[in-house]
Amino acid sequence: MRGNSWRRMVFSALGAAAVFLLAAPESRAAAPQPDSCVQCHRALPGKLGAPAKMLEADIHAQKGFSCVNCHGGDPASFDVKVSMSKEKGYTGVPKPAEIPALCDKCHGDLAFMRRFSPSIAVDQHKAYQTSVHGQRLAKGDVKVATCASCHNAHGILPAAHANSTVYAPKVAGTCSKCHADKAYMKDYKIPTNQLENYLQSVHADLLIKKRELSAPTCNDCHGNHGAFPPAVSSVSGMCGQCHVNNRDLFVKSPHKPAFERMKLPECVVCHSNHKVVRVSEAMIGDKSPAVCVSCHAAGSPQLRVAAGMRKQIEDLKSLIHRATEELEKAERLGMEVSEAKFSMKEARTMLIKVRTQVHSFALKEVEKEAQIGNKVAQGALQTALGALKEFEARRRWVILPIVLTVVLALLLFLKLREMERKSPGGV
Amino acid sequence: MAQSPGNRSERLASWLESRAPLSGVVEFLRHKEVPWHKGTFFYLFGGVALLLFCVQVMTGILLMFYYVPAPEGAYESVLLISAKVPFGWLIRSIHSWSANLMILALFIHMFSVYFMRAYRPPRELVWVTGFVLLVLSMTFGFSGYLLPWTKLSYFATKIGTDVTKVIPVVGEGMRNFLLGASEISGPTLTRFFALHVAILPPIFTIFLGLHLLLIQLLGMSQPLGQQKARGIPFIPNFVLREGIVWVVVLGLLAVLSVYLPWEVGEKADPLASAPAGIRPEWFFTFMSQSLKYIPAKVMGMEGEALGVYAIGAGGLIFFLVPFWDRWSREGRRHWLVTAYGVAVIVFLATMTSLAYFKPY
Repeated sequence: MRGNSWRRMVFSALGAAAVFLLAAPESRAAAPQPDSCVQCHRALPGKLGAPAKMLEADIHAQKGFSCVNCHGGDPASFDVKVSMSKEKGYTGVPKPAEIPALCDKCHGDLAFMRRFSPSIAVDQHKAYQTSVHGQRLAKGDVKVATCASCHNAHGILPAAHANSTVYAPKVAGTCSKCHADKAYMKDYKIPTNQLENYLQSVHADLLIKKRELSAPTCNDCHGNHGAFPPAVSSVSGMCGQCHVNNRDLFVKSPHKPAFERMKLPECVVCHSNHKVVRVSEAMIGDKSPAVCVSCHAAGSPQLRVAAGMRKQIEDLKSLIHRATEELEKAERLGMEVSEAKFSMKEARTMLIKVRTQVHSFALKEVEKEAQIGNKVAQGALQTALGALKEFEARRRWVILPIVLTVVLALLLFLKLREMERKSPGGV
Repeated sequence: MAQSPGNRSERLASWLESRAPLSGVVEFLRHKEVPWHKGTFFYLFGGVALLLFCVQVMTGILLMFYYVPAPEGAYESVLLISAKVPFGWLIRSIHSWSANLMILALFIHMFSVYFMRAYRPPRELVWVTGFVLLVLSMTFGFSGYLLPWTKLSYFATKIGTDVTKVIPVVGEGMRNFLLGASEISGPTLTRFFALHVAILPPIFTIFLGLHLLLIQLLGMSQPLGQQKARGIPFIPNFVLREGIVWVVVLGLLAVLSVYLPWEVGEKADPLASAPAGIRPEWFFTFMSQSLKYIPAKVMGMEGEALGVYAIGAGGLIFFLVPFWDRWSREGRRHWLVTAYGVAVIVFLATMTSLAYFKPY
């Protein structure tokens, strides 16, 4: 009897543990009411009170989570000896090394996370472990970034929220909290001018100033959770995520194998990495400041190709400029040139295509694209010039009715004067 | 025996007279006189408005050959008229300039009649029909403004039609009737087109006929205080003067249409936000501008509604001048009437100028 009773107790305990473990994800979502952590800490000053005050806006709190889900303890008890006791599972402030695993308890559980967002990624921890941050953390470097370094520990907002530290236009600022800090980064022997350079780039101009959210920031090239410096050979693939045509042309160009042999970082060689400035014709050609001259010798056939490509771009650009000016002039004069103005969109698209085609470094291909653009722009220019010519003709011809008007009015006046010579008003 | 030319023309006149007995009319015109005084020049503006109305009818008919009254084709057809149709740009430009000059001529004509007190008995109905003609002309302008279906005309019409909402009882229904939908869309364009080319022209013609008939029957008004001013023969002296002015106006119209052609603008996009600088036609700017200065709420009343009522009341007082200016009936020129007319001119001129030079 006694033996049975013990067995029953052991099985009951194991069963209860199994039920507890299986039901664990459910319990993670349950924030008890009243919540002693929040109520007590909200009344505390400084660092102890701040987390409770930030909880309201926190995405976790909005989904029904509270302090207990990360820090343990018993929020049902208002006795600090009970609510913050080890017996009640209170863990206190997690150490940096513990944070990725702590977050992963929920964020790595697809079945659990699906309840909140069906398409949410759950591989952040795995990606983190492959990152430089994760690898260094594993080796005991606690200075590296963990989840809370970028997302904050409390008051965590969804990445799409404009106030989130990981909202695209704010990412560069978030990364630079560490990466631009010379003293903090001293031991790592890597540059700290990335933010300074990035802020001068066309990408930052678009993303930060113009709020063009499709423009890249740090994580678009380096990855976010799996942050890693890109390998020399993968640069074009990285830039090619957005600049697809440029990449396709580059990988087929003679530069690809040459750069590989010389271990040069592909796109970065001409465009830089963080300081990707707005491109212009000045970048190519056979004279400084064209980037081509930094590798190719003066008078070389390659520089002749570069000069030829530049000429194609400049010619098309100036033709577009002239056609646009003439069209605007004609329009200002009230001439109808809207069709030609619309066709200029195609000419401008062709200019972009010509600039893109430069990445093939094949003059003939560039000329082929430029010819199409030239034809369209030339057509628009002719329309504009025709309209201006017609306007001039109209101005000339209007002299005729003016003369007729003056003559006719004069004749009528003379007739009237003759009639009324004797009695003004004809009375 | 051969007939002499004189004989032949007499026979032709006799043949015509037996079929169209107009000799009485000819005789009437031959003896018709126009008062001759320092304000006679202003009599010519009625004729100028008439000439410009004829130009409107002719150019409007020509434009109708190509214009498509639908949102999908209206703007494109105006572009076609301006760019491809031979002399289409000129016809369109003349139509637009002539419309504006006609309104201007009507305003000058109306104010000259007002200050000369030419509305006094028995010419009250001449004034009434003339005022109705001005309102109809402005309605012509309002309905015609939307027809090219440009961004500016779309939003200006939207604001204009929204104003009708403040009219008690009938306002909302009136707006719905005008728009043919809850917002300006295809049915609105069709309705405005119908209004512009089919409804307004016959009504205008009837009132114009009445106006001209009454003038012929009652004769031109004598200047106030003169029992009988000396007159000049309508034919040929006044007609010759009118002819000179008409020729000058036609020349001016040609110059304006060629040197300052009416631009087409951008196509309307109902989903786009309203562009900056929306402005109705110049003869409506006094209203849109004055409404800007009225606070949203005035003594618990909607400011806009109050503004519309105030302008409406001011217009009504002006319209009813023949019935409240008892002084002119007695042959007296009262300062109150003059002051009211001057105030109306100052108000119109100030608000219109502000709309162009300091809209915000």
